[in-house]
Amino acid sequence: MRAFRVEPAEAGAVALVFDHPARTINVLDETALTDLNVALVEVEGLKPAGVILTSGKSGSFIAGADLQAIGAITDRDRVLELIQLAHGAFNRLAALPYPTVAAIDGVCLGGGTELALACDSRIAAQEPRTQIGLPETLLGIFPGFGGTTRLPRLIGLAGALDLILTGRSLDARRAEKLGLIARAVPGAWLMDYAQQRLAELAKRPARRRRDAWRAKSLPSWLLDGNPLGRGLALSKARKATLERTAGHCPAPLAALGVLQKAQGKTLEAGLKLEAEAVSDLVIGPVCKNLVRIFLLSERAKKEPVADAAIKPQPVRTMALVGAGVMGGGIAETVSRAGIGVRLRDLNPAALTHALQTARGLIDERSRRRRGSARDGDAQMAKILPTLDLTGFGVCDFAMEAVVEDLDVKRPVFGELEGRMRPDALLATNTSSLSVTTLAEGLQHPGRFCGFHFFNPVHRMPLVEVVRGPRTSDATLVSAVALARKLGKTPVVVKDAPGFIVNRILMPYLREAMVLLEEGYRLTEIDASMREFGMPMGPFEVLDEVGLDVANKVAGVLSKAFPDRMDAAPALDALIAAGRLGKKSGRGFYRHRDGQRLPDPKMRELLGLKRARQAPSPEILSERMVLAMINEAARCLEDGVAADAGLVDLAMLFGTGFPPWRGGPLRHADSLGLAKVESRLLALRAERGERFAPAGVLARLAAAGGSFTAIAG
Amino acid sequence: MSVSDCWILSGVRTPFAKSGTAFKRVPAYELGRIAVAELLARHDLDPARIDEVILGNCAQPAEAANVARVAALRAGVPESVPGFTVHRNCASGMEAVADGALRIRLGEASLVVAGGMESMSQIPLQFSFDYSDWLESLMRARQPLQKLGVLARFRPHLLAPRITLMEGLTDLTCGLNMGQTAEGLSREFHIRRERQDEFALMSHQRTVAARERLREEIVPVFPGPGFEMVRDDVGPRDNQTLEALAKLKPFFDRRNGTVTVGNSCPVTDGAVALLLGDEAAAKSWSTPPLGRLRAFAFAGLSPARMGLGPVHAMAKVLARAKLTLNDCELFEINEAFAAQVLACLEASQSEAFARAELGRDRALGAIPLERLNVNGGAIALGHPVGASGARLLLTILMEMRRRNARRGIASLCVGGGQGAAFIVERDA
Repeated sequence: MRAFRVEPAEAGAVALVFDHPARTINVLDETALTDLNVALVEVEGLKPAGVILTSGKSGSFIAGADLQAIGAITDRDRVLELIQLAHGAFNRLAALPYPTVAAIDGVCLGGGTELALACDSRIAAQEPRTQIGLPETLLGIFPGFGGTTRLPRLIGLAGALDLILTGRSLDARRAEKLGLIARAVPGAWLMDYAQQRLAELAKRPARRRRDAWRAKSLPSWLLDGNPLGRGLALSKARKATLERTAGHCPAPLAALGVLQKAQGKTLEAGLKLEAEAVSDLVIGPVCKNLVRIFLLSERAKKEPVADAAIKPQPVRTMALVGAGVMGGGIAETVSRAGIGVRLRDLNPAALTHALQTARGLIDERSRRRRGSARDGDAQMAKILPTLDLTGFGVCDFAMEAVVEDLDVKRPVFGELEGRMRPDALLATNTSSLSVTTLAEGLQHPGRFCGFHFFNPVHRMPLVEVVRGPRTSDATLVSAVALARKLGKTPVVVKDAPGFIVNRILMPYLREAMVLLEEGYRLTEIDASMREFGMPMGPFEVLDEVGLDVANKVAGVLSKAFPDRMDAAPALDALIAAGRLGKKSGRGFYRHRDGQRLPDPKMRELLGLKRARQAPSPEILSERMVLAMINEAARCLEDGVAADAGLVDLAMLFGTGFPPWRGGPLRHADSLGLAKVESRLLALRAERGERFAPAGVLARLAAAGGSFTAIAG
Repeated sequence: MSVSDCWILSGVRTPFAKSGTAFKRVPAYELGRIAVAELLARHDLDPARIDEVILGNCAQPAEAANVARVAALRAGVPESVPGFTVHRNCASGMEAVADGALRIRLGEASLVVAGGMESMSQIPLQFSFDYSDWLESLMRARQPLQKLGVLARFRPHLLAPRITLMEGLTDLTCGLNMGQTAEGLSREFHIRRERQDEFALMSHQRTVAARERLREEIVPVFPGPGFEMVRDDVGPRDNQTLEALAKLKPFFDRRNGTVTVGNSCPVTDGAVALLLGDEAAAKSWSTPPLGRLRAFAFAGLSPARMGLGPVHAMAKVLARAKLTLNDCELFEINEAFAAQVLACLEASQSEAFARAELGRDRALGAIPLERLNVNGGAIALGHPVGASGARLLLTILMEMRRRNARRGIASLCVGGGQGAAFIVERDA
């Protein structure tokens, strides 16, 4: 069976149906591109009145190019060959002498959008499932199947720059507004409107059949209709891109380069520029890292975590115990997924605060037009605060989020077991306590697991689902399904101190504090890590999280790994002085009006000597990054996560580790494990045992191996 | 075909808060939502087991047609469970219970949520018809000159709002405001200002003394936008005095009146939800049911004397149940106005009244003050019109349980000239 088939449609037209036989969603892999050529030959033979490009997969159009292949391919000539194959087929479609319309229903991304752009006109189903965009730059490349060349001709340069450089996708309504599609129509009438569009196109003279950009007003002509305006748009876009990516991402800049060079050139010339530049990017490390992370996150979102026959238990209502620091955020995230929340706290003021937090987050979404006021009110109505345990008996899932204290948490689970249904699941949001210890004393430990959100809950995509030794497969499957329903990326971890993220973060933060004690400047230490690509420096993170919270985690980890995570005296000293971070106005920094200011008092308090100048930021960041890499290797060695991919994914989604570096283990691989080991050994001699290389790192380095395969 | 008695299994209410205070920004359907959701939560009840949701509401917010349905869905009641709103003015909350009871008695439902809700804070101001005509002509004007012409016809008085709260509290057929009907009764039964004020003081004192007891029927609410907890009724005054009451000017008849805002019920927000069940539901219920509905009756009378509704309704329901007032141990008469409650007490003892208006040869009987509204009433804690009827039933049943009483009667007067009375029983 071929990926494209030709079917008769109404009024002498034909439907060109993409229905990939080997996949559940359409992907433009090599087979598909070859089959497209074959199908187009057939169409040419039929000489129909028009062609409607559509998908044979219900509810989705084309998801894009074959990412597995992009992740694996290393030969530039081969990449170029594939791109030329696509260009050939797309040009052939564009050259058909009869009207062509793409009828889009469902996801239409990357290569799918580029294929649609090769048609004369496009319409799309105005349904929530429809998403049209060119997300290539998010994967370290840019649209190479003609999109970069064709899009500005359809919607103008300014619009094209926006879509290509941000990689954002549009719903049908917005796509219509931008001119990317001719019309957003109800999904049920899609084919009828496609026929109507064909008839409209047929009335146009052959030379002007194709939808194209035209200046609709003076401002649009000033911006887009003349070389001066276009030059301005390009330079503005370049500035914004450099600001956003700090120059770490080559793809948007390469796209800008192609768009600039293609100005005033023919379509063929543009396509050639596109093909060459994209080929360079595809074989580059950033593309490989980003594609790998994307595939890993898809895996985390879909792959079964236990026997696939075990069906997750649906969660309609959740009991949430503890309206403290994270309670409001968790309640908002859970209620947004349509799940009712029975929010319990003994302290009315805590409930008030949690409700205010949730309302604030909801209002912020509606201010950004991500939901109506009515939706917001309905979501808020799903959160039902209480001082007692009423209503818990109908809840399917209980989440404990009270203070991090075993003696406080234990009795909570006793109460929960007394009130919840026997088949309801129990989870703890602990970040530092042992899930195994918490499970002791439970009557049914099989239904218990860890479910560790990250702060701020609404923004952080990661959930560490902690599997205790007695957690049942059914519980694990349900917890993972819940995390996915909440729109989070679950990573299943073993119950070990600090799980993945906090465990790897702690030696890194410790090293930052050691650097501070050695006399380096706070701001320089933070700046060095921001330069490395972290969204915040270590002290900024500490102030944000709260020094008391961090110290609790540090205490647990120093007990577990005394050889390398001894207690942090700096934290104790600042906490004793009442400096808890941003929430108390002072921590490592002084916080005023949302700004962080250096504070000489902090240096005084910690008894720091005269500030010392670092010869280069890398001197600072190297030690902190190596501390992270080494601990990540140990996590892998101890089996906290199943493989290196999950460790990297957790660090990316849990801490904002720079995506283009692919995670700590991937970063180690690209540095070269032999070099990493020798630097660790040198630091161990200089700075102490904490830098002793992890066993697995030493073994791999000796064998010339790596943590991660190129594509996985 | 009497299939089953109707049982009142349980009930909760929000605190009642004087309009413009704690629940100012909480719409009626949100108050109803909270009451219904908390009722279900208290009993860990799977909402799919409910057969019908019936809630009373008078002001019926424009954005929520069939406001009971909105409240039910937002409370997590499944879409497959039907629901409707009832309106019998001040008796709407009782009408909801009556409707549920009829369905249960006929065997057409076994579990019904019935109650009422009202946000009198959110009763809107309206533009006049003159203004909407003017707006319409402005929209119709196409040419600039035409537009200018319409704009020139604008007069500031067009913006004068219609205060629908006041319109709602005025009877269209007799033209009297509710307070004016109370003034009428104070004259008819010669109830002086002092007696009214004394009664009002008693209402506050009893309500304040009952605060702890009332918490048994109230669920704490965290209303937006501040989400501070509200645990008790907002209205009862801890230090109300006769002197303070005496200082108030008559509100409805400034010159010769006796009815003041101090001896009337305040305009209030709140909601009540009761769970009604049939015999089988009551038997399998995890906690002892609050009680059983013995009989109910609604009666009609002159709109201008609507305050006497309770006497008419009690006479009717007692006859229906073949009982006398002496058979009842506890009484609730909704305190719309002190004058009106006192007039009811007079009328029920009057043989002349019984002959002339109730078709009986003997007076209905005496209602002793010490067994009437023992935990205070609407003068102190307010009268959210759509909810009060259900509140009276909840309050009397809770008190009957405390006293281990067998029978009580709850009644209220209804704007537009009606009365409602319900006899509830429990096995002592």
